[in-house]
Amino acid sequence: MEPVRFLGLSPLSWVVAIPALTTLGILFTPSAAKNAVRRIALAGMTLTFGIAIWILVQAAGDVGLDASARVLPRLAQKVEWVRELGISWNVGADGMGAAMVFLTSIVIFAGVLVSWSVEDRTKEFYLSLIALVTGVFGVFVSRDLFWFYFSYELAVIPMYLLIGIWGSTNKEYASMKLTLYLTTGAVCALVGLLMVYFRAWAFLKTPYPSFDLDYILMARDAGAFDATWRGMDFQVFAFPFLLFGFGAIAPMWPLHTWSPMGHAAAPSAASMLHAGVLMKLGSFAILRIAVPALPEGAVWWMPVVAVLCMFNILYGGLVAIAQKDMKFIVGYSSSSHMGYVLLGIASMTSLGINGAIFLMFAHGVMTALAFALIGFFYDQTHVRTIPDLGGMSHQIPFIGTAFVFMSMASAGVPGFANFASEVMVMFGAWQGGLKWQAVVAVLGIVPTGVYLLRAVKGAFFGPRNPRWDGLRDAVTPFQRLPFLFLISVLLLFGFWPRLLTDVIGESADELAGLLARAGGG
Amino acid sequence: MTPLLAALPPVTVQHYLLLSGLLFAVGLVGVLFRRNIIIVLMCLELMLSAANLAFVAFSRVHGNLQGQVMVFFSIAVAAAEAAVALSIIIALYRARGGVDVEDAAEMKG
Amino acid sequence: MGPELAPFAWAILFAPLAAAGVAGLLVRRRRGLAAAVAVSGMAVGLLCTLYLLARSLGAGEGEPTGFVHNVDWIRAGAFTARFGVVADRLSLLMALVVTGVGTPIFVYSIGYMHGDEGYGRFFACLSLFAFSMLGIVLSTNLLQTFVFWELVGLSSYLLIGFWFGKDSAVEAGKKAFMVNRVGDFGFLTGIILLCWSAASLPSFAGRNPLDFADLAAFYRAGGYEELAKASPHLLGLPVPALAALLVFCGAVGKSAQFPLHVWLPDAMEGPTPVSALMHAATMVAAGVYMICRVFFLFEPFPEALHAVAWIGGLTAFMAATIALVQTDIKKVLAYSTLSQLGYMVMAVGLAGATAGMFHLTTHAFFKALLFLCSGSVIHACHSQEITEMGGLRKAMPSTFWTWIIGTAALVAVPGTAGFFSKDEILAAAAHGEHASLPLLVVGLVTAGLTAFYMLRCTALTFFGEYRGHGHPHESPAVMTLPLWFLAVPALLVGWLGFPLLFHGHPWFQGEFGITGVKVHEGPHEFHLPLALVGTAFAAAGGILGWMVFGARRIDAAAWKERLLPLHTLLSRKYFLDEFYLWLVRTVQQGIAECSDFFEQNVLIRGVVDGLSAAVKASGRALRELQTGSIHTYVRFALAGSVLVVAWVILSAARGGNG
Repeated sequence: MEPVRFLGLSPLSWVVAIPALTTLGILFTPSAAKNAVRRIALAGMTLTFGIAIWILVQAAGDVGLDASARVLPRLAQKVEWVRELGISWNVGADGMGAAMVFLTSIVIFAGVLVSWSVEDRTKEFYLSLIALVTGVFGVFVSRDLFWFYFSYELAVIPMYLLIGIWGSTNKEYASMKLTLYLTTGAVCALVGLLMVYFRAWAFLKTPYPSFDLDYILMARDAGAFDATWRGMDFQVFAFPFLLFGFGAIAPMWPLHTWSPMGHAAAPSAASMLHAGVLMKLGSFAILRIAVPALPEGAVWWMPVVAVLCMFNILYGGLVAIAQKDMKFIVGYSSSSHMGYVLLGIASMTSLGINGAIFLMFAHGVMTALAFALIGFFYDQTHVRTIPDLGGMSHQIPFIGTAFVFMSMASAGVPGFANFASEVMVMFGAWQGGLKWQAVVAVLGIVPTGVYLLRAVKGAFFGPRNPRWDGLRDAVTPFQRLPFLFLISVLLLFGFWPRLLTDVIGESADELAGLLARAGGG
Repeated sequence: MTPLLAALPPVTVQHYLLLSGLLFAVGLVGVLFRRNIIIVLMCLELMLSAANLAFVAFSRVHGNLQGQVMVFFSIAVAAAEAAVALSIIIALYRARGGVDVEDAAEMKG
Repeated sequence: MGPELAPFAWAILFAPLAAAGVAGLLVRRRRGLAAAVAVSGMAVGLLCTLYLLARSLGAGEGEPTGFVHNVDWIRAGAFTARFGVVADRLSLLMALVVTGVGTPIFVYSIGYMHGDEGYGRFFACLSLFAFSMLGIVLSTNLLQTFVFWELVGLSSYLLIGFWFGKDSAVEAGKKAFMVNRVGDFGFLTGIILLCWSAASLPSFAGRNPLDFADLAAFYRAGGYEELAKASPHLLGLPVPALAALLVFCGAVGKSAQFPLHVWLPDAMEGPTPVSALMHAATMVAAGVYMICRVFFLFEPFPEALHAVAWIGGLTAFMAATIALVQTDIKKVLAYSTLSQLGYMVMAVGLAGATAGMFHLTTHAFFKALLFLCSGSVIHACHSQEITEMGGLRKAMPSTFWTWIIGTAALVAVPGTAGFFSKDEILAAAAHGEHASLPLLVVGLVTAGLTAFYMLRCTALTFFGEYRGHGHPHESPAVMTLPLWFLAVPALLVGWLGFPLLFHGHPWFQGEFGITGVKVHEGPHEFHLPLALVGTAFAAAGGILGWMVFGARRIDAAAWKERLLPLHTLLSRKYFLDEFYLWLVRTVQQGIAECSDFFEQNVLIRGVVDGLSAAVKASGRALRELQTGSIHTYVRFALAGSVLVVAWVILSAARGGNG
């Protein structure tokens, strides 16, 4: 099995290296050369997008092949870093990882484009943006717990700067709250990670411990986590640290309040990344680390998740109905939609988990589109509360049309990827025995429709309002590109979900099988 | 060895340690209760010397040089520390017109 | 006929989608081209439908009359959702209705929408609707039906709110979407329930629990009994019966049955061709079609069918009474549509799929015709109020005569399309398997009411003196030709169901649908006495209507005074809108506000800010220790070291002793 390398690095390493190099490139560009900064960022992210597509295509090609014929395993790369602690640069991808890398590259590509109009400290803005996304990529490709955690934290700090410096509406409060929540969650997760790490070492009795995920999984198979610890089953004891630690960013009810506020305060591109990918880190980490490492703990705790996610779905939707600020509407709607992701995970079926991962993708793209659109008109109107807006479709028809598309995607109208994934979650939930949750999930489409149609009507429909006569629509192809790009992605995967569900399928099967075995034993 | 000295009980490591402890206590009391910062500094030096003495004594007991090497380090660091401390004291004197430690209460919460 | 004809079926589906894409994205600003593309997309659909229908009707003895072609749409674990086309007589008949009514309406729109700002957008949306509707028609499984079900809701939302500058239009679109969503909630729940209940049975292995054909085969093999036995009762009903009723919820929403009918009259805010195509002929009939498609779900449960029939009957009667007092010409037709949809649903409940489909087909033609006539009238008078019309008979002869044909069909004048289909429903209520006297009475009374309000509307619009502004003219040929085109089937299509002509005809042999929908042995024998009674009721209503509003022998105003409470009740639509408004504005908004209050005050201000306040307070308390005096610090340090030393000594001592 010949490893795939380019200039000594696997494409997966390049996915992290290119944003890192882009950050460096921007760092050494003079602040005054704003266009150079933008172009460097765009070039770097286009390249990353290309690699992400390549990886996804390989992942799609791998479906159904023998292990020996596959390309994806050949992309794995491991370089030892600190032997005594067992830290190594260790990247690898499966279908789920490939899908998430693809999502991130889409969102940041569009994010770079919509940030073109940022004039205030352009260099620092792009620097933070690309640094953030470097961390996000790092999380999605990492198979080393240390780098996983490191990248996780790396993603949080630039977000603090982005909101604190370029934000709006109560930005100091929001950025502080976001950082506190995310770091507290991360620390909580770190406790869980270290428990697993030391436990594995103590059990396997190797000369050195290791942060390698495969090492942890080996320890799990050897029974390292089966013992009881101070009268409690170790898995049941350790799992909540990971669950709630990662769950805070997911965001699981009631740990969600940082999220709408953060959305509202952040500048467009930061909101896009925040809602589009940052929130996915939590559920991704649960699926990548918590569930595989501690499957029996997962089986024990998933009923709790199944209850909490109902609050996410219905309560999030209801609170969204009561909001007036467009960004808060989308913010609470995100928390509602992430409830579906959690429900899919809690269903513990292949169908539900597949749907959850697919929904993470679909929601990421959709919500990026939402914030890009809101940012587009907010930059000009400087208001985004519903009673003040209205009738804007007369002046900015393109943005209005795109907003209708976005709302329909978010409302789960078929043809968009969101529908396919949400339906998978609903079916999966019922299949997994969560019948009432499935009914609640189906019921959730009603409030979703209410607040989205209200937002569309409140902002874009209604009589022509002379106050908006000066608004500029997105007219040039370059201005329209990010919006059209995101809409096409949603439509493509909505019309033909198998492009993604087949890729994710094996990861989901594996997780579901693991959980089924853990539940049976 | 003179008879007088021979008549005295032999100096054992306990004696050194006793002296070291006394020196340390004197220094500590000075640090705790004196307000003049120069005195405080001198008392600090006294405490350091007490530690050095203990080091040398143990070095002798154990018959190796590690303790003495440590003392050299300690003296070198103490010299640097004294230089820094004195310059801070001068700066303090210039700013406050006095060298009372209670005057420098910027750290008060 | 077999799957080798699948490309034609796919073409029916995707021609309108392609047209929508081209018209909406590429040639939106080139008005003529956009319209031409849309019309040709629809025409391609019509031609393919006709070809396939001919092949199906011409299928020889023992040859299948339909086929199914599927591809896998989603595969995950043991779950496979398919996407496909089914071309059997049921779906092709419905596709013929959609494309056959759709094509003239598309042509009509060229004239009607002339000069509108959003011309290209209109045709794009209309084509999108055609795609969605044909998707329901050709769907091979429940999930695909739901997909297009929602898409139809989307295009309906877009087209009702087509004039997005008008608040009332946007509100109506929103209402339609939301009311349908409520129905869809039941629909999707039903699909999920049915899917997993069936899939959990060992005897179901190897089949797809969403697929119509598989489910029908399973039910035919006695699967429903097994299903009822295997699963516990839910909400007091056996699971398959509950699933059937939940699926019916979807039809209640889309086909605007009581109590989810409130969106349809408001939907008249959309352009008139939209009302004709979607809210009279096709989309609202989707519910009826869907019940016919999954009729096997209802068949084993007479109670479920009974509930269906009663919902239909109630809707038919209630809507007809409201139509009596409406003054907006489109609202009259809208309530009439509701009433006729009620008939169809009642027909399905009483007599089965074919009777419902028959009435659906005839109704599609004559109601689309009536709507287009009303559009022509509105185009001429620039008003929708029948109080501002009158005497248009002379000014608009084409419109008038086609309207008369449509009215005759709706009123069920013997020989017209509506007569035969309505007769079959009444016959089912009188003699059918599930015959029900109360429902027969409802049917007959509704027939009388229908004649009354249609005559009233005709008299006020076309007879008497003109009461509006300006001088109304006949519409251009591009609008009147589609009227005549529709008038022909409105007159004639009913004869297909005339037993004396077609009894035992090969067209009515063989399977009506792949799901094993029974054709009830060709049309029944013809019930002359019943037909006479039905006609008598209609005639009574018609004559009364003409006496009041045409000949003016009876004083309408005086009767209105005398029956004022009743009139108010009817003109306020039984106060149902007020009730729903209260539900939305007070109940739903109240719950939302409560949740928001909880979020803002309990969670954020209470728990989250409370925690941070606790941290701050402890910080404030601890900072008192920070005196700034070096002596304090040293004392703390000293105390600390004493403690540490003490602990070390003590533990050493304990260790030594132990």
